[in-house]
Order: sequence, then C-alpha cells, then structure tokens
Amino acid sequence: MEADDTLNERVGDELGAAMSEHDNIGESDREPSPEFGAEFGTEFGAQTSAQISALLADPTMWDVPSDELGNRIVHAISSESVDAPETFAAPSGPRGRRTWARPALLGAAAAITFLFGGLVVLSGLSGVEDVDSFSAKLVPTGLISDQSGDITVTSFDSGLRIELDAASLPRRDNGSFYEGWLKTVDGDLFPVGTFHDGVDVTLWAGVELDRVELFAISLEETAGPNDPGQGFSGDVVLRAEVNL
Amino acid sequence: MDLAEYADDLMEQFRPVHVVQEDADLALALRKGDEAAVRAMYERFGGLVFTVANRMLQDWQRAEEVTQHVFLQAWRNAEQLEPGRDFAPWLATIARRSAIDLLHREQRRPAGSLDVADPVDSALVTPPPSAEQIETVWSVSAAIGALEPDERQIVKMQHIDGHTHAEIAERLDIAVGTVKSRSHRAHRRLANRLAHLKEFNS
Repeated sequence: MEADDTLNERVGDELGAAMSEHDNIGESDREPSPEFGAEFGTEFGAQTSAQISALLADPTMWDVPSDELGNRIVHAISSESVDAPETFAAPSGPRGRRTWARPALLGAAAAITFLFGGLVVLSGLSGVEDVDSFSAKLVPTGLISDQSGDITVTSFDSGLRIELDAASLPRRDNGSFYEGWLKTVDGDLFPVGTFHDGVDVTLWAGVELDRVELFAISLEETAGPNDPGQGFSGDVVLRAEVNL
Repeated sequence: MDLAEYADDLMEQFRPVHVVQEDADLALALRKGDEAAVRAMYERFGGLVFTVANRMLQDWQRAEEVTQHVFLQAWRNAEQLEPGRDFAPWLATIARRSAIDLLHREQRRPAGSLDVADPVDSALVTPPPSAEQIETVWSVSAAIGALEPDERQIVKMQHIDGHTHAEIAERLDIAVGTVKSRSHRAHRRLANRLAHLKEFNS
C-alpha cells in the first residue's frame, strides 16, 4: 500500500508538472471538480463509490476531536476511580463498587421478596385472592441487541402486579433508566415504574387486566426542565403483545 | 442470528489475527481496571466514536461530550467485554445510542400512545449500525486523516465547498496544474486506503 502511495505520488507529480506546462485555465477547469465516484466508480462499483462520495461531502467527516479530548477522558476516569468509596477494593476493576454492592442488594431483594411472599400468603389466607394471571415473552425491538425477557402479570384487588425478568438488559445509571408502560385497549398509556436493570423488578399498575393490550419497556433519561412530566421517550427496547 | 451478531461476524472477517489479539489484550486490561487501557482504546477508536456521534449530532462540541460519555460507559461496563470480541461495533452502538439520548434530552417527545412505537419507525427503534456502515464511515474518516495537509485542503474544497480546480487555484494562489496534481494524488491515496471496501461491500 505504501509503495502504491509513493508510486502514485510520483505519477501525480509528473502529471501535475505536465499540467502546469499548460497552465491556462480551460473549460474543464471551470467545471466542478470530479467527485470520487466519477474517478473511481468503475473501480469501486457504483454503490460503494456513491457511499464514499457522500461521506466525503459530509462536513462532519472532516471534523476532528480536539487534542485535549483524550486527556479529558482519562482524567474523568481517574476521577471516577478516586471518587469510589473506601470499601471499593482497589484491584477489582471498574465495576468493583457494584460487585461489592450487589450481594447487599441481592440480600435486600431476597428479604423483600421473602417479606412480599409472606404478605401474599397472608393475603391468600385472609381471603384476598388473585383474580387472574398470565405470562408473556418480551420481544426485542432491536434497539439494544441480544435482549429478551418475560413478564408475569397477576391481578389483585389493589391492581396489577407485573413481575419482570429481563436480566440481560444492561444496567442504566446516572440519569438513565428503564421505564415500564402498559397500553390499554382504549389507547391510554400508563407508566408502571422505573428501574435500573431487569433483575428482580416488580411493577404495579392500577389498570384492569382485561383492558391491557401491550406492555413495553422504554429507555429513558432524566429529562429536567425540558420535560417536567418526564414523558414517554418512545425508545421501546422490549415489548409484549398481550392477547387475553 | 440477529443483526448485531451478523454485524459482529462480518466485522470479524476484516480483523487480522494480530488485531484480534490486541483487542483481546485490551479487553482483559480494561476488565482489570487498567486506566492506560482506556487511553489505548481512545487512541484506536476515539476517531470512530467521535465521527459516529458527530454525524448524528452535526456539532463537534456535543460529539466530544458524547465521545467522553461513551468511553466512560465502556470503562464502567468493561466486565461485559468478551476478550476477542470486536470493540468497533460495540463502541459505535454506544455512541449512536448516546447521541440519540442527547437529542432526546434536548427535545423530548410528548407523552403519547404506544401505538406510536411502531417497530419499524426508525425514530423509535434504532438498530445497531451495520458492519458496512461502521467500516465505511471509519475507513473514510481514517483515509481523510491520512491525507497530507495540502491534499486534504484541496479535497475538502472540492467535496465540501464544491469549488472547481480553477477556483481552488485562485483561492490558494497556486497553479491550476498543481491543484490538479494534488487532487489526483489525494484521490488516488484515498482510493488506495479504501481499497478494502471494494471487497467489503461487494
């Protein structure tokens, strides 16, 4: 490749020198310069040369990041490492803090699950029975690859309990999160809760089971003053049609 | 096999063995929390991430913000990295996702029916960039970066400003023949550096 470049440089210089001998501006000089496709269309094929031409004509392709960006990134990462609490074991890698936190979270989740399970049993004993229940497989929309999950929806007097199992969802933190939504046959959209990842998620909705048509999980960001209502982003990552 | 897996497989075909090994080493270093690995990753993939973000945002300052965010995310999620897996599609997907998030933060859509969330609506469902897109954008960006400054200036004036050879000669105060020579040389250099795309996209 380098040899080709050198050869072409020499050929180009010779060509230029020959052209300089006839430096009068001719008609062809006033025409737009030939695009990449015009010169290399045959060599590259129409489709590829058109793609390359389009990219060469895109001003953003000519931008380069500032020299300091690399340093800023390294500095930000160093700061993040320093900010980690003391319990963060040093050699445990960038996710060490979470690795430490997770057993505690799982323990808490287990405790909550145990407590909640007890409450359900007690509810059953006291005559508050679930009316109906169903499970559905979540279908990925392609927004995040390799995703799947299931929901189990159980109807109680107090509302619908939606147990979500979508462990493959990558965790979203720092103002990013997931949000669950139910759409009813009337076309109404109900937010059912927000969460950081898809492990041990229980959502609740004050919706009648037989009105539910669709369950979806969207990607959300803390919207701030641009959207005080924190509306639906529209970025659905998993969804399940509910056909009762 | 979904689109992302297909893209990964395609990209694997265009990574020489030593690059696969370098990526595997880099992944292991990142997983161990090695900050130097972040700089190495930025030096290799910073241009790609910045270009993907900049094309979507049309604003280099915000593209830099996204680039920083992407590498922080990569650092935080390094444990998900499988040694041997190609970084490029992974980082490009995070870059695209982050740019979309930024756009949404700035102009969020009103709450509405999920009927709107049509799976084929490209505004709502963003498939990961294809291997071809990543490879082509990255390659062209790198090829532009590899041009000599005088060649780069002329090619940019041709493709971005639409100037003729004569206009470029006049603006740069050089002979038309010199412009033609540099232009020819630059385009030949681009073609040589992009030669692999002939196979890639065929």
